[in-house]
Amino acid sequence: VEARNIQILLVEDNPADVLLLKEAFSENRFDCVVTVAHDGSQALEVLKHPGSRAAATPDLIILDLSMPKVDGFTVLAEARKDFRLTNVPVIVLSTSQAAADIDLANQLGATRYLSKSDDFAGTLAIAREIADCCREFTEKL
Amino acid sequence: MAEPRQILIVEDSPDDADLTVRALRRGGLELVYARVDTADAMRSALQDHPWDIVVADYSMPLFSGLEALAMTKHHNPDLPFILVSGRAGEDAAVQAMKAGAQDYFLKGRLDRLALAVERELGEAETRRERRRAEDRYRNLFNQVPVGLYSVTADGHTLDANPAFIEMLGFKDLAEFRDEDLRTFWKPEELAQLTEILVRDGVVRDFEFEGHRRDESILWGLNSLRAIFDTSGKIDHYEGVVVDITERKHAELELARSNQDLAHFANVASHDLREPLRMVSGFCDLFARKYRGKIDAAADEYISFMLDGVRRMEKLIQSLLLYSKVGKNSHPTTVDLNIVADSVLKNLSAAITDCSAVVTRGPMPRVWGDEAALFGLLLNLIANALKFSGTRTPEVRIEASESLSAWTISVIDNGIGIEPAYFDSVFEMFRRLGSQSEYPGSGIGLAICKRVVEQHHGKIWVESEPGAGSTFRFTLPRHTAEETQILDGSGSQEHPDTPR
Repeated sequence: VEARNIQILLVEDNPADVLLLKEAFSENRFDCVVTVAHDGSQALEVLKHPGSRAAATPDLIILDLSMPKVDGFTVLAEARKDFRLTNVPVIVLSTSQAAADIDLANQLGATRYLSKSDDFAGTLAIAREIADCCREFTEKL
Repeated sequence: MAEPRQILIVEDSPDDADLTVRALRRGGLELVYARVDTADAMRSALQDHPWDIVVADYSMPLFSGLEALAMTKHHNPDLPFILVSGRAGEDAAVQAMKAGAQDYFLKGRLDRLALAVERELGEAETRRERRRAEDRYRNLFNQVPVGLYSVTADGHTLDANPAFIEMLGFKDLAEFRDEDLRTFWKPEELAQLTEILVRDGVVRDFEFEGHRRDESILWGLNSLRAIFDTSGKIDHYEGVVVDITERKHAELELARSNQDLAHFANVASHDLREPLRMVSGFCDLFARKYRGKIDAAADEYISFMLDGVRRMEKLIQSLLLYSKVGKNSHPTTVDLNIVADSVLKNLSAAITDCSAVVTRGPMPRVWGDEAALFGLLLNLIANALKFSGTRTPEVRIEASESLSAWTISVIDNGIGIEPAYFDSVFEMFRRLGSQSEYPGSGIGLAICKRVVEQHHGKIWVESEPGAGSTFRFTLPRHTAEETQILDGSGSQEHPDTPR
C-alpha cells in the first residue's frame, strides 16, 4: 500500500513468540518487514548503526521487557535518547502485568503497553493493534 | 431415727464406763460403744473402727487421758475428744483444752455430757464438710490446667497454683516468690492491662505475650479482677491465665504456610504460564492451519489438545487469583446488600438459563474488601446453581447475627455433599464431581476460604447428600478499624445494622 514496506524491529528472545507474532501478522495480511533482534544488546547493535540497514530506522519497535544481557527498559531508554528514534512508536509486549513494569515503561516513553496473550486469538488481536498503531504513526508523517 | 453413735470410751473402770454410757442414754443418745484402757487397745480400736467421738478418763493406771488425746488427734484431727475426770482441777482442764480436747467434765456431774457430745458431733460434721470443701478447692487449685494466682499491685505473688508456676518455668511457689511478676509480661501490654484494670476493676481474656524463666515466649489469655479491702481500696488481684502458646504457634505456622502457599501459587502460575503460552499458541495455530486438512483422527487429537490447553489456562489463572487474595486489598465498610445484588445481576444469565429461584434476606454492612467479598459471594452462589442436580435450583442467601460476628449463609437444594468431604471441599484442586459433569478449576472454594480467613472469619458447609448444601461464613462485627471510625465520629449508630 505504502511506497516502501513497513519496517518493524521486533526485539524478542523467545523464537516461539517471534514465530507466533509473524504468523498473526500474515493471517491479518499486515504487510511488513520484520527484523528480529534476539536480545537487548542485539537491538542496540542494530539501532546504533544508522545507514547500514533499513532496520536501523524502523517504523515501529516491538519490545519484550525481560531478556538476557540488556533488558527492554534499557533499549527503550537508549532509543528515546537517540534523536532519530525519539518519535518512533515503541510497543512493549511483555508477559508482565505488574504495575511497576507498566509504570516504568510508560515513564521511559513506551507508546503502548500490551500483555502477551495466552492463546492465538489474543495474539491476532495484538497483531491488529500493532498494525493500527503503525498506520496511525505513518499517516502522521 | 439416725444410726446409733459410735463412741470409744477410754476408761479403766467398767463401772465408770457404765455411768458415762447411762448418762449419755439418759440424754437421749442412741449409741454403741467399746471400752479400752491401754494404749495398744486404743490404737487398734482407732484403726479398726470408725468412731464418732472419744470419751476418755483423765487418769488411769496404765494409760493417761492426755496420751489418749494425743493419739486421737494424731489419728484424726477431726475426731472430737471429751475428757472426763474423777477430780476437780483447773490445770488439767486447761491443759486438755490446749492439747485439743473439745470439752472437760467431772465424773458425777455428767448430766450435760450428752448435750456436749451432740454438740461436738455436729461441729465435727461441720468441720469435716469444711475440710472436704477446702480439699476440693485445693485439689482443683492444684490440678486445674489453667494458671491461678493472686498478686499485689507491685507484682508480689501471694499465691499461685502449680499450673501457673510451671507455666512460667519454675518448680514451686517458694522458688517463684521473690520474682516480680510484672517483669514477665511485655511492658506495653502490661501498661494496657493495668489501664483497663484500674478503669474497670476487671480484665477478661486479655491476650498477652510474655516470657518464661528461660526467656522462651509465653502467650496467654489473662483474666484478672481486683480484690478490695474493707476500706474499699484495692488489696490485691486475682488472676486466671490460660496458656495459648501452642495455639498461637499453630496460628502463626498456619499463617506462614498460607503465605508460603500463596507465594508458591504465584511463582508456579507465572512460571507455568510461559511454556503454556507456547503450547496454547501453537495448538491454536495448528488447529487453524490444519483442522479438516489431515484426517478425522487428527481433528479429534486437535480438539483434545485444545480442550486440555484451555483447562490448563483456567487452572493457572485461578492459581494466580488464589495467590493474589489479600494483596492490594482495600478494606472499607461494605454494604453486602449492594454486593449481593450486583452478584445476582452478574449471574442473571446463568440464573435464567436454569430457571433458578434465587432469594435473599437483608444483609449487614461489614468491614472488608469489596472486590474480594463480591468474588466470595459470586463463587458460593455460582456453585449453588452449578451443583443443582436435576432439580430446579432454589438458592437462598441469608444473614444472621451473634454478639461478635455476622453469619452469611448460602442455602441450596442441590446434590449435597457427603460429610466426609466437608473439610476437603475447601482444599485447592479438590473436585468432587467429574470434569465433564461439573467443569471447573477446583479452586473456587479454596479462594473463598482464603478470602474469609483474610477477613478473620470462618467458612464451613452443612449438607446432606441429596438434600442440598448450606455454605456459611462469618465476618467479625467490629474490627479495630471500624471501632476507631465509630469512636472518631462520636456516632452511636452501628454501621452494620441490616436495613
